[in-house]
Parts: sequence; C-alpha cells; structure tokens
Amino acid sequence: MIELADFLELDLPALATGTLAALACGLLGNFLLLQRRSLLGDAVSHVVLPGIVLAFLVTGSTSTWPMMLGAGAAAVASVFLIDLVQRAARIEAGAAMGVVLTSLFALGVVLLEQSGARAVHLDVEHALMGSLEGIVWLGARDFSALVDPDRLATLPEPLLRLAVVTTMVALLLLVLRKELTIASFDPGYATSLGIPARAIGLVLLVASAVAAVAAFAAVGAILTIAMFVCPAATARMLTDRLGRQIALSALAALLAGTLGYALAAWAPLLFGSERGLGAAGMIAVVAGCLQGLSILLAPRYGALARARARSRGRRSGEGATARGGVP
Amino acid sequence: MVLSSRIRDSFPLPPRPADPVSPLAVAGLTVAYHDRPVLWDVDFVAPPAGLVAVLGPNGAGKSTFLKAVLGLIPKLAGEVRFFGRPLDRKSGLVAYVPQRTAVDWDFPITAVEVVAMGLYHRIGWLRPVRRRHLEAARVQLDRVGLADLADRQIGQLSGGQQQRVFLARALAQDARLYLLDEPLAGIDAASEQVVVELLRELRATGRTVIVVHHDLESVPGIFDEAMLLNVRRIAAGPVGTVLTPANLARAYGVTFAPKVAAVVGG
Repeated sequence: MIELADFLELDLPALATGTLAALACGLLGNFLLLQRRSLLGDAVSHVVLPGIVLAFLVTGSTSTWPMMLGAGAAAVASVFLIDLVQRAARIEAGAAMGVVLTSLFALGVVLLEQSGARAVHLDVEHALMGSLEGIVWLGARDFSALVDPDRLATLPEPLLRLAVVTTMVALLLLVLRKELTIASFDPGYATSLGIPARAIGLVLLVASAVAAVAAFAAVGAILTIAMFVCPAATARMLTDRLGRQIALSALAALLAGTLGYALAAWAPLLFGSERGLGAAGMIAVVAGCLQGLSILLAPRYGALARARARSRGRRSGEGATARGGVP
Repeated sequence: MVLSSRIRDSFPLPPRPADPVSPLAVAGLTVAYHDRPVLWDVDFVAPPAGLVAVLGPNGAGKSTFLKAVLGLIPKLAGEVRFFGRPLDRKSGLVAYVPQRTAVDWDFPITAVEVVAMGLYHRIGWLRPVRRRHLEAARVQLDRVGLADLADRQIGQLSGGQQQRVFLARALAQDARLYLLDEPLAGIDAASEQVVVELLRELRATGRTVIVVHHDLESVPGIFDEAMLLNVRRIAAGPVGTVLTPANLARAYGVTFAPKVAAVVGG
C-alpha cells in the first residue's frame, strides 16, 4: 500500500517538516504561555503581510528569500512595537498585540491596494498558508539516501530551514532556561538581581517571531498558531513542574506531527479513498484533540478530576461537620 | 514624557548630596505616573542596622518608594545611594521582596526552586541550577520553617507560607539591605511570627530591613524607625517621634487620624 520510494520522496520530508514546525513553536509556547503571550503567533501571522508587500516593492521579486526576509523583518519589528505599546500605554500583552496586529495588517492591505502590488501575483498565500504536501525530496529512492551527503544536500529548503530554527530554539531554551524562568515568574525580582527581565522577554519574542515565519512558509499560519498554544497548554494541564511541562509539550508536538500526518496521508486509504486530507490541518486537529483530552482527563487539574475532588470534598466536609471534628 | 519634563521644570529640584555611608540614602526622590506625582521630593536615610517601617495611607507611594530606589521604575529626580554608591544589582547586596500579589502562584515551580532564585546572581549567566544550589535553598527554607514543603508547587501553599518562601529567597541572597513590600499583609499568625523573628535575626546580624507596612498598631512592637509617607515625606525617625497625632493627621487626614492615633496609642 505504501511504497518506500513514495514514503521517502513525499511523506518523510512533509512529515519531518510538519513535526519540526510543531516542535519549534511548541517549545517556545511554554514560556509564551507562562508570560500570557500565547497569541503571539496570531499577531505575527497578520504582521507578515506588510513585510511581504514591502519586500516585493523594494526588491521587485516574488522569490522565496526576499519574501521570507520581509516577513521576518516585519515580525521582529512588530515584537518591539508590541513591547513599546505595552509599556507606553501600560496595558497587558494581549491588548498590545491586538493593537499592533490589526494596525500593521491594515497597513499591509493598504500597501497591497495602493502600490499596484496586487496586480502581480504576490505569494501571500504561500508565505501564510504554506503547503506541506508540496514539500518533496526528489530522487530519494531508498534508505541509503538518508546517509548520502549528496542526496541530503537536496533536502527541501523549508525542511532545512526548520531544522536549523528548531535546533536554535532548543539550544536557546537549554541555555537560557533559568533566566527565562525568573523573568517569566517574577520580573521585578529578576531586575533587582541584575537579570534584565525585559530584554530576556524580548529575546523570547524575537525567537518566536523567527520560528513563526519559518513555520508559516512550510506549514501555514493556522498550524503555527495552534502549535504555539496547544502542546504547551496540553502539558500545562498534566504537571506543575516546568521541566516536565517542557518535555511533555515536546512529546505532544511530536505526537501531533506524526499522528496528524499519518492520519492525513494514510487514513483515507483505509477507506478506499485515494485523496489525502490536508496534513497541516490534520496535525492541528490532533494537537487540539490532545489538548481537549488533557483538559478533560488530566490527573489533578482535569475537569473530571476536579469534579471528583469537589464531590469528595463535599462529602468529607459534611462528615466532618456531623462528627463535629476538624477536617 | 512632555508632562514629566513639565513637572521637572516647574519645580527645579536642587541636587543635594546623599549620605555617604548609610545602607540606603535617598535625596529628593520624585516619581510620577503620567502627570500625577506619586512621590515628591522624598529624603530618607536608613540606619546601619535596624528595622524600618514605611507607612502611609493607600496610594501614598510606599511600594513605589521601594521600586524607585531599586530603579525598577523611572524616577523624575533624586539621588539614591546604597552604601555610598550607586546600586550594583549583580552584587546581590540589596534583596527585594515584592508584594505577594505581584506574581502568578499557579506558575509550575516548587518552593525550593523559587528560593534558589536568590542564588541566580551567584550562579551566573547561562549556567544551570545544580543540586548544590537546591540544597543551599533547602537550608533557607528550613529557616522559615518550610523544609517539609520544599517540593510543593507554590500554589499549594497558604498565603503565609508563600510569603515565607519569598523571604527565604531573599535570605538565600545573603544581602546587607532588605527591602520588603508588605510581607505581613494577609498572612496567618504563625507565619507572621516566623517573619517577625527573622526580621529581628537580620537586625541582630547587622542588617538593615526596610518594610512597607500597613498595620500601624503593630509598628511599635516590631520596628525601630519609621517613615510616614503621603506622596511627600511627612516624618521619619524613631517610631515614637514619627507616630504623633499631628503627623498622623497630616498623613491620613484629620477625620481619620483620631482613630489611627487611638490604635497606636499616640
């Protein structure tokens, strides 16, 4: 049913790209969640539009690198703008993101309409929606390709980009874990110790913006936004230790990436259909399902566990009162 | 920014030399949120060892005073010296204990991990927290009577226990000067006793502790000195000379002052 050459040429690169995107965004999502900035992915997805239009207007090219650089520059600029708005207006992060993402998106639309860029086929679609199925590794016919440097050099670009970004994200969290923790938990105390909480927060946001842009082009905005939120939120329900939360979020991202892709690519075959489902969408669905399950079934914080604890508490509370004892 | 400079221009504040040896010497400290002054021309000199209460009604600028001297919020004017020098944060000589409500207690972290933060400046950048740091943090948790709760997630502790965790973190820092924001607010009697005992211990070992405090009644029993604030400095010095009916009337207003004075026996 599944041939090796098909798997290596078509499935493996797409599967790896989707999973790496999930991993990069999912790992960063842990600290974004703790800083109540989970919606950064959403903000960045809107901010990318003016960046792409400007990059086209400046270079006159619609090829990948100018688009990526424009999107990346806009995303990083928006991070500083969000920080500026947040401090100048003394409002919470979510509100600052809302203000920045709507105004910059509007700017992008105006630029698109007024500059004549609309006449050209501008690849906004590709930068935002991505195309996981379009990521193929031509010429990989058997497993020897996995150890052949010449063949590995022809790995699809989005996959290589995400491999680099995911590695850098993992290194960042490894090296800055203690600083990110204190800056997220108690920025005032961190600053009083000479640990610049604000700068560390900006490093996290810039890394997230870069990861988001790399992920958009490969897997699309919807999956990217979902991955900033779902794996971390899933893990958060399951533990109250940060180390375990990060490990569990990585596991959730890996599971969503592989299971989501497998369901999209091969489940329809089981039902005799030749048409695959959208892989990026399916990965996001699996991530959402995992989160739903954890909200329901988590051992301590899940809805069921809480309901049980409540009813048990009520019963034992009544018992204590009846006996006149101290609970 | 425009409004800030307007305040500055309309009231030029001449620079005054701050006391050279005090753990904390403040001269002419002025802070404003937008165009509303929160602290106005406040002078303060802390004793070399002792417990000092910072008192005043809500909105008097007590917490702002701590944040401004630490440089956590910008000041419009004024000079702040720690041990005669500008603040070197990385030295860890000054320990800050924020208000308990300043952080998210649902954060996925244990009591001992929070206390270990008091060692971060010594661990240094990019290095991980190791077992020996956690062991050192446990010793401090034992000092506040929470050794057996070290591995609890902090949200599972009572308010008083959370406050003791914060204090243990400041103790781990082994500072010379402690700045505490409302450490006795809304905590149980047992925790209050532990906190007050530790404050006295710090004083006995030559530390200066400055405490933002709201309960006037308990001031004479705990503190040596006090500063009464209401945007401006109303009074400062030994507790007995600060908590006079006249000073309280100026800080809390004439209608409220008699009740306050009755409470503190002034």
